[in-house]
Amino acid sequence: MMAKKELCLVLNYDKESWNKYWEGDRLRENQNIGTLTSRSASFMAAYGVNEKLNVFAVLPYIENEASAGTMMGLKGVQDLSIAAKYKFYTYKKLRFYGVIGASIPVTDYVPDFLPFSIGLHSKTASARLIIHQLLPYGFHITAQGGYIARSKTNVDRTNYYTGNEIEYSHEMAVPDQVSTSLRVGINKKAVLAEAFIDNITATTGTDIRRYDMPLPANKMDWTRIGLFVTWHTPIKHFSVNGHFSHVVAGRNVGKVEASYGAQLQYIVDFKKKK
Amino acid sequence: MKLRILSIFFISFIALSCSKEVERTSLKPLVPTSNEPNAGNWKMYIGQPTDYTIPAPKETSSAEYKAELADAQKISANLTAAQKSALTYWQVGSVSRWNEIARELIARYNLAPEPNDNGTYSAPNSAKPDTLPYFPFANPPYASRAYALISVAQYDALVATWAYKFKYNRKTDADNLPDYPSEEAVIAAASSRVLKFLFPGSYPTQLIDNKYEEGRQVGIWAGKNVKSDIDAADILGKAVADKIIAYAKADGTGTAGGSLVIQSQLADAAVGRGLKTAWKSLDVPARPGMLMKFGEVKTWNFDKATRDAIRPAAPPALDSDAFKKDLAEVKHYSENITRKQWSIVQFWADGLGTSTPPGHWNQIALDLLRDASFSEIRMARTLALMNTAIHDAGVCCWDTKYYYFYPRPNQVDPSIKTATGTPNFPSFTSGHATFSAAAATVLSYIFPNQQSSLEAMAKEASESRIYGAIHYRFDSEVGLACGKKIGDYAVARGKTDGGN
Repeated sequence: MMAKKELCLVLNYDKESWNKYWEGDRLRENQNIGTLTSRSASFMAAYGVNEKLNVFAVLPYIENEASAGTMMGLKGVQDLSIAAKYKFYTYKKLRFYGVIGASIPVTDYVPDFLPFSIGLHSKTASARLIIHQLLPYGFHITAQGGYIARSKTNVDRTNYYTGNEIEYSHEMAVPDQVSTSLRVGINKKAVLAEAFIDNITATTGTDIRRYDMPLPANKMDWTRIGLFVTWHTPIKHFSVNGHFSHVVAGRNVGKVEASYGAQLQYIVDFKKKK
Repeated sequence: MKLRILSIFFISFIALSCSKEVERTSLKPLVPTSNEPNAGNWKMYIGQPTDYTIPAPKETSSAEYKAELADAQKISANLTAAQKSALTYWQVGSVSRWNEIARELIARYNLAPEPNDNGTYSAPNSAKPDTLPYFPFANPPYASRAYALISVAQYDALVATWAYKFKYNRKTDADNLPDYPSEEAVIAAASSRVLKFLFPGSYPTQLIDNKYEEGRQVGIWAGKNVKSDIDAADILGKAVADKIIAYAKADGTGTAGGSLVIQSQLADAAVGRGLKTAWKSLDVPARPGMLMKFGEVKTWNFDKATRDAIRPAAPPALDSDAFKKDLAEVKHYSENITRKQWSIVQFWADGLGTSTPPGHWNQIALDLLRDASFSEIRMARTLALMNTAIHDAGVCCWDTKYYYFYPRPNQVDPSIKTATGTPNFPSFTSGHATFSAAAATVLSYIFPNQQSSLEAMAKEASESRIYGAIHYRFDSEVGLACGKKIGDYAVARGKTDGGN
């Protein structure tokens, strides 16, 4: 949690790639894509409204391209996400938070050119429960569970085959998601480190058909494990972060063997100095 | 304040997760503007009505008829919920719905075979349709042939139906159209039989059988037919379908796949005529050109000599200024495509996993036909005229492509990246342009007040391939001109087939 009247500004950079993907539950390669690389640079802000309430905003720029094949990569500013996190209950060393969030596409990017599309161009609203247990020696364990509702997306064609029938519509239903996460970490004075396992499971959706292109209407699931380390540098208000993750299981998504990222964080303190 | 934010949030949360229903247009029941009393005299594609015989019907005064009528009335007065729902579905029109079923099966089977581990590709086998690669690979030329066969079968069957309807003139109710045989049942019998020939796999067979069982009963459920109307229709529809299938088996599609040896020969022939660089497959691994011998398939509306006569002249030489200019245009779009151009590319792409560009034009045609409330037989005539023209366009275009063996822009300049998949066949001329111009020409003849709109659509479809960076402008322009000539042959037939 941010302290009261503290603003944290973050520049985040991520790079990940895959050369295998799940077509339904079938893990496969496609030599007409080769390796798909996704890079993103995001701006994030977190602000402590008071001791119990934080608000967040995130805006990413994403660039996707393939190492093989003939199709063009896509890039652009994606969706603005905002969230509010509220600590609603404390019991000894146990803390309960509720998070509500929303996101909206900021540019008119093309959603129906997966795997190159930078997003699904859907509006979302989400709610999450976080249970955070402080443990001895600076350790902690966190469990999270949430639901992400996603709006239909507009596509530029008037019909598409779902795998069962032709849907005569220019809209595609983007599935909602259930999100769960478990984190174990340590928070010492200068270092915050966490290991995590995250899962996203879509509530509905179709499978990619054999040797077909993916659709925004697909059921995209994944389980990621990773590590997140933040070092509060001796430079006042300034921290750096490095993170790594790996997709262990999935459906209708790329199998990212290694995702690397780094952050620069700067804290602005708005409290009036006496 | 907090409460208001929270409630706004929860309302939008519920709204987003509940509204998964995509926006669809709803269709109204067909109420034809005419019963087409003269349609039994329209010209069929293969043979004439007297080639087919059905039993003479019993008189309406007969005991047998009265018994059938009582049975039929009992059914139509006691429809189950499932039957009522099916009736609503089929009342949009049988020609219409069977066209949709065809398009659904084309979309389902429009997926390219995967490579084998050794980098070769196997061809789908009609004797083993459920074994990978599934039969058929319903690509654009295959689809154009399929839509033509189904439309011709429906049309020929309906002409014979109308001839017999008015010959026997048996009717019960106030409706002026005679009942025997039932047109919905004829369409169901003819369409299902041809579709099962085109899609022999177990999933399509099941789907088609279910639709056939439903679609043939529509007349009874609607209270306008008795059992003998349906039975006679079944005999007639199946007999017409068998004749169309016999035609199809000999139309040359069986050998249209060619081989790598044939592909080499075709490439060498084009190079021998002056081509500097022959087309090659950009698929990885390289794939034999799609249906390289489709140009040899039988055409509906003209002969092979005409096919040769209307084949376009050669495209620009690969070192000419005309070529460099159009290549530069493609490169420009590949690097500067706008959002609006993206939507045009995607609207007209109709690539893998869809019902193909011919399917898209069938959708356009059906929207116009339904708005005009054409009778089933006039709808069938329009679709037969259009789909035979689209099929002929496929033949001519594929003949042209493999005659000139012209490389795609991104083969000549690999730095060109595309906004749509690169089709696995030579560039000149554009299939989208040829199919679209042929279709637009026929539909403009049927709907003259839609001509400028249809021509604009054909032009946009042809330009979508330039924006997508997979065709030169001359591929599209020459394709449009050729497609128009092909469409004119179908129009000429329409003007003399009795339905004008």
